[in-house]
Amino acid sequence: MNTDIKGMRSIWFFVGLILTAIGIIVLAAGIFELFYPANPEVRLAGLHANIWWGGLIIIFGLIYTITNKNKYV
Amino acid sequence: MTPIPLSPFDWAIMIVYFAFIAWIGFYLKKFTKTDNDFFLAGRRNSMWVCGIAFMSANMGSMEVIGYAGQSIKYGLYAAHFYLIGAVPAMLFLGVFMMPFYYHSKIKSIPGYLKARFNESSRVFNAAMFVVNMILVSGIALYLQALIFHTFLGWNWDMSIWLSAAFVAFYVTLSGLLSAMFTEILQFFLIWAGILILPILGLVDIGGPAEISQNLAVGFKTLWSTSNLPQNNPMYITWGGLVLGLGFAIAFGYWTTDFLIIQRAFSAKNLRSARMTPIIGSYFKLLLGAVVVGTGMIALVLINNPASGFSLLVENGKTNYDSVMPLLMRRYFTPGLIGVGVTSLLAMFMAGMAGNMSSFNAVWTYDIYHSIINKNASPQKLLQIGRIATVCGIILSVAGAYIARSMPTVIDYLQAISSMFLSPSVAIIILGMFWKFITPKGGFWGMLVGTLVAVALFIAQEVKLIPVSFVIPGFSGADEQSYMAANFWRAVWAWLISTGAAIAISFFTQKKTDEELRGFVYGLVDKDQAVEEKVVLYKKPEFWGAVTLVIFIIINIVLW
Repeated sequence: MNTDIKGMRSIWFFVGLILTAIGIIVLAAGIFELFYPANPEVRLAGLHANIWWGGLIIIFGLIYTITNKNKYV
Repeated sequence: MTPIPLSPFDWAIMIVYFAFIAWIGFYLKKFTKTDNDFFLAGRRNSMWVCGIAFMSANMGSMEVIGYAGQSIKYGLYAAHFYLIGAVPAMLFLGVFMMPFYYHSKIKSIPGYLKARFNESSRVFNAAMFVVNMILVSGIALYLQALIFHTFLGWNWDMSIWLSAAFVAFYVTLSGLLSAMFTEILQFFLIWAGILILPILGLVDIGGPAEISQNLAVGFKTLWSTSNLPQNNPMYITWGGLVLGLGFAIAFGYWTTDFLIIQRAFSAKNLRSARMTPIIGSYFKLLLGAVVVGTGMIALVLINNPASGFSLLVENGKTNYDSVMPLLMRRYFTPGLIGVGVTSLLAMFMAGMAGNMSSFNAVWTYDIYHSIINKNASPQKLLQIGRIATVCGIILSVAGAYIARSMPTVIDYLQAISSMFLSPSVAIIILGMFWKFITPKGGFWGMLVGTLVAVALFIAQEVKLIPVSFVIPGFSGADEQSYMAANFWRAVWAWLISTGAAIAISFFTQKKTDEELRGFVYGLVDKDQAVEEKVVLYKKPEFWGAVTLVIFIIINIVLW
């Protein structure tokens, strides 16, 4: 969370970690849905928002994880 | 209404989120050794950590779900809560007030009142804050239970107690440190869940031009219909918006509500503390665009019967707060539903963690340590802080049942603000910028203003006076003018507090300049740390000016 408490990892590392994990699940759901279409009542399902939104969350998460992985705070 | 069907992917996202937050609570416990770590997170944080935690503490269910619902009711007038009702006060806090708060090394806002005025002012303000927090936390718990109950089909009572227990668990472990840590994680999750909603909504309705074409003028402008109350959906005039929302309520919340200011107190230096609300102001503008934009999109859909979209109706009453979850249901596919529900959970957790970490600090320092046990050791204070968290959450559960009985939560929330925040900010600002105000003037000003505001609210609720009683030059339309009455009640509370404080200060003993040094504008404490010299683009004033320009442009464009 800050750079002074000895031995504590940067908060940004954790942000990256959780976003990456959640992005992977969203993307997996989108890929699964390509083969097994879900609830037909959902509007704009054809946009496959879970694929591109999941991908964006992963990219964002990886940037945070990689740039902060060695920062002990 | 049938619950939203959750796929295994959605459950997996929720499980990952809860496991992560619980793990963080345990991870941080070893870094929380003293009362300073628990209540002020060690005072070592960067401006970005503080700024995001500051904003996250404000991104509770009420601010997001509640104000999306307000956009349906009041159209673009709901955006005033993010513009005149936030930006000027946030900038004032960062530019002018933060140096006093930060330098005085106080642990809470009541602590400042003690230093500037006296012990009575501190205890009274602390008591008002504690009551305010319980009522506000009750609303947050109620909204969370509403989501669980209505959209997931969970048992109402069980979901409220489960939510309460989880917050108790992780705030008790490491106080502000874990509250701020999880607030930052939740901040990103909230954006992941809500940012995509207006994007999909705009695709669905055919673009932003559809909003302008399908709504009446009173619903799509900020100021042009504010000359007369009956011309706009909020039944408010520009005077009520500027004085009531922009001044009395916004300054009350943003400059004296310890819940959010506590995040800035944990900053590593004065510049970071001053930048905290200024960084927050950018996110506040973005949040307003997303929340009000989402509400306006829903308004277009509601006005078009062919869209098949309508709000939840329970017992013949429209539930405005249902708009955001219903839009998620309309657009979100598996995986996104998980992110959406998790972001709703995160909003609740962020809001509650903020409420509880500030509640335990004020209770411990300003009530327990000030009245009950003046000689308590730091270890004892840490223990009391943890006990206070659990007790505060149990009381909030009771507050949730009160909120459940109210017509709309945001109207109720603003009523609470008008009674408990407006008199405090009147006295704090008066005392901070004018050394003439005496300790007794400050205390009695705050007391009289609060009592008058509470009396006006009670008289209105028991129908002794009409809702429009406090609105100058207007009568009628009780139900619609409820929000306008909140704004004007705050103005009266402010004026009465200010008037009483000045009047009493004429006849009572003043503090000396030496006693006031460091707590009043113009009386600088020689021991104060001097703010580091930095280049222009790193100065809080520079970034505050940029926000101000954006704020003015938005108001002109949407006039």
